[in-house]
Amino acid sequence: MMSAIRKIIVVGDSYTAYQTALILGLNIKNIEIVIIDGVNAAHNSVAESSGPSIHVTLDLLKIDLAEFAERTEATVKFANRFLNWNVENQDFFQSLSAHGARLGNWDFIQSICELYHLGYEPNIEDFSLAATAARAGRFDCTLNSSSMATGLHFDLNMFKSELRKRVVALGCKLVAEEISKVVIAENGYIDCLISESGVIYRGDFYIDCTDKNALLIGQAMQVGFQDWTTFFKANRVLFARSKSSGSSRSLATVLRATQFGFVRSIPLLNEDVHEYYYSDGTPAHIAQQDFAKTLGTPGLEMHGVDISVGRRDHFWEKNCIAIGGSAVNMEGGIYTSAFISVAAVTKLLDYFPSKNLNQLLIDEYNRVVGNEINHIRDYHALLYFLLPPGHPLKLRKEMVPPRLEYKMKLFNSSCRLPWFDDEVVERHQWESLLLGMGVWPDRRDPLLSESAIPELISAFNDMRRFIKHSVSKLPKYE
Amino acid sequence: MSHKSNIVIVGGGTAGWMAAAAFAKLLPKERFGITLIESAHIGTIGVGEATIPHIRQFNSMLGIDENDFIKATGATYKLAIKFENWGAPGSSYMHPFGEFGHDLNGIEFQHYWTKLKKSGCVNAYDDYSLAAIAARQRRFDYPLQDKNSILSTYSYAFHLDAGLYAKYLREYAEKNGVTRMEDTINDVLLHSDRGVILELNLASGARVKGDFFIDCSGLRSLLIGSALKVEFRSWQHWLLCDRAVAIPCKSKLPLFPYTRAIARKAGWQWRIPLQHRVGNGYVYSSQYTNEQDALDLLVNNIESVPTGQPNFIKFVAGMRKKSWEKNCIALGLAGGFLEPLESTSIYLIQMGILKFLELFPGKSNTPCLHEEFNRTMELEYVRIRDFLIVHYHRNQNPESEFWKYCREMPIPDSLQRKIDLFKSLGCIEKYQHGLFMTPSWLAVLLGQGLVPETYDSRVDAVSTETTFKYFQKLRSEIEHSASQLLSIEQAIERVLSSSGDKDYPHAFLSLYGIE
Repeated sequence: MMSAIRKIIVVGDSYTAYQTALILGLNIKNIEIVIIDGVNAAHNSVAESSGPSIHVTLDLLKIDLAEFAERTEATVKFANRFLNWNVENQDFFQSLSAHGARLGNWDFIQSICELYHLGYEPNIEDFSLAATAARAGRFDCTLNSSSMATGLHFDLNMFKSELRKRVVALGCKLVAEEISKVVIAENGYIDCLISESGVIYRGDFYIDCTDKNALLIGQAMQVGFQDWTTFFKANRVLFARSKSSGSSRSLATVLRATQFGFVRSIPLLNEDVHEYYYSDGTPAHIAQQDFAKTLGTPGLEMHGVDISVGRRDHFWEKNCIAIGGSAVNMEGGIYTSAFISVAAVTKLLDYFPSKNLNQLLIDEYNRVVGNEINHIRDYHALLYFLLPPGHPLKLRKEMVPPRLEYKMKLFNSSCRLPWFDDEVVERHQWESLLLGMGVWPDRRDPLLSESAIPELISAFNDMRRFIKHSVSKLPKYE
Repeated sequence: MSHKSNIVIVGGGTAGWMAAAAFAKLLPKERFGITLIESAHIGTIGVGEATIPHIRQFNSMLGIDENDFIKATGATYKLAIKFENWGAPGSSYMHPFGEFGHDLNGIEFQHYWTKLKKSGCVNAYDDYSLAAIAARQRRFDYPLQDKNSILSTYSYAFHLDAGLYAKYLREYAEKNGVTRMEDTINDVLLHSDRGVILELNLASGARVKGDFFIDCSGLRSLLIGSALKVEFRSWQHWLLCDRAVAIPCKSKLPLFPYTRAIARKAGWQWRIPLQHRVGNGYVYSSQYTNEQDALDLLVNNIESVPTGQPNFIKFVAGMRKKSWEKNCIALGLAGGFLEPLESTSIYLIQMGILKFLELFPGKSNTPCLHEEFNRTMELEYVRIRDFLIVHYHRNQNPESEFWKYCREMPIPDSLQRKIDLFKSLGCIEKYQHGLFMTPSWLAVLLGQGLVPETYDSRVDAVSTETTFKYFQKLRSEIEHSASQLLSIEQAIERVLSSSGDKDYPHAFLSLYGIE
């Protein structure tokens, strides 16, 4: 028999803490989980905009989709909608699903780029059923196809309450205490946690879900934090809620660039949640004015917090693993901490340790998760790079991470994206973001025959017509 | 009138004609002219008599009918490679084109197997693979599309006559507009400033200009090596074998749907069954045996009378530092050599062709296209290299000096990390790009006797008895399902007597039958 881990202590009162505990509790037999949730996790976000991976998450959590939707004021998400992101009056729905169809030996992306070079100015959105449906505010819950991948918008606090109920029902022990001391043994391992009332908590393994406080991995174990403000200049966020803008607007998360920052709006069932990201180089009152002007709703209550975007040097140190904001903070992008934290727990299940914590396993986990996170960082960096020249948050060309620079260079010269191990963001997401933002490759495809062009144009017209027609048959979202 | 680009392929072996056929199919004829120069006086090595499932996708891309291809190339089906004497003396294992068992409770199958192994109550790992068992039973049929069926958990490839395959592709390519020149290269003219290849001067006095050149000249590497001076990076310190001797013999029934790779004193012997003959060869290290001894060993270990003269081949394992330089790419042996232990030669040619078509330079032959081509090809080669090395490094041959050296030699860090991770924890380091994934690594590591020290501790939540019963049930299901397939002879006969029925499954790029 292996010396199995029998007791895990999760620290933090974030939804990440409960989500991690629930996934572990449901997927590992004979394990005792204690959640010390008197510790303030300092989590900022109040709403989540998830991709299609939410369905995998719900499977892992054994939560029924309808029940989840009801309890978290969830709405369906088909797309990200970009407004004024890199040009004035831009309005582009980026689908969560792949666009178009392969035409003979040509990928859709090669073909649409060819069409562009022929002067047809194709709009990539027209070749996505999901993006077209999102713009039209149409949806059919019976549809389940790869061309209609759905994410969800949901209230994180409600989700947290639901998760909390479920971990209790599962038998996890909740301790509403703060930690006064993390005792580190001579070998650098966490020996125990001592609560404010003096109770000692000892486990085989510790999970730090204290978000940016990083009480265990950062403060106690001194694992360094890589600051990414060179890539992401936004280090402040303002939050506001408004009455729902209407369900026809609810099928997309809206990302709107403003004069001094950008707004991410997440439509929930009964209200919209707005986050305004900006740099502290912009005075607070100017930022508030910019935010209010963008929302067009005067008198909204708003509150602000500092954010520090970056990642831990490594996420698993000795007998402690950081999940959620204590491991990586990627606020203000498309792939959120919620997505990253589930990916991390899934990976932990893949590499689940015995009591004899093997350094090779730890190194492998850190290597893979680190790669994944850096890929997501690059995708977010692309968003910042695409902001217009002179925008306060614009990522300057000379600061672009090398791998992203390589990706863009190759895309520009060949309409192909290089692919690396541990990529997380799907290829079609990269492609649609680039083309939707008007970044078209420089060259025509040398392999496309002139004689094939009329057929290509006709196929694109058919595709566009078919999608438009199919969407018109869908019921209105409400 | 617009300029027509000329693509010149040098060499007409497997690589040359695969490239010619693919270009003929996919390049617009009004914009590209394709010329292939080959000489009947220069023999080809004829790589790739044993293949992996990816060849089906290549043929399918060309629109080639699989049954027609089998008839034309004397091909037989292949489900696995059987490695004999690589682990403990007298032992053998299969590396199948398929999966082993399946995850249980979210935990990888090998962890349960390791637990049972430690309790002494489990069969060999390859007993839990449909493809391996079917290969042992000498059975074959197409994998099913139904993902819930155990008969969907494998893929298949072919043993073929590489000379006939090249001929088949030549006919295809010429029919589709490729110009063949029977000639030899005397000289390669480079641009004085830019260093690109301008033209080839041929023995007949002809001069062939080109916009892009494909070096398929085999180990001579006439363009990328000799003319463009791209260095060769040797991996001989890890892959010691530098010679091969090949000799065919008469086909002898019964047929087997697998390649045999038998460890010998200073290398290994292959046995590849075709319809009309058996391909045999001995890959060896010249440091540990000589040409005559190698030939004697091979001749003494083939099953019937040789039907041809022995063909001696010299090589060095490794690859060019760049596979794309200026206006030239190298395919096949001109770009690198990895011994045929895992039948990867045709695969590497195929990947080179597909990647080149993806990054086709057009008018803007920008450096980042080269960079990406070179990056991906190097990744392919290096990952296959590591997989080949592990076969040698984890041998258990107690006698030979050659095998002792291989066991004790330093290995690449990338491989050492992989072995350490597996040895300690039973985990395989995962990557998304490369040919050999977790099932292949498990086949070889476990097949050669490296049982992990530990397994996933969550496995203990299920009792040994329950796990044992489940394994027994799974094994008998696999045995039973395999026994329902056609015999390999029946499967070949079905093809030979077919008349245009395309009853074979859709082809895709996967070793294990997972799309």
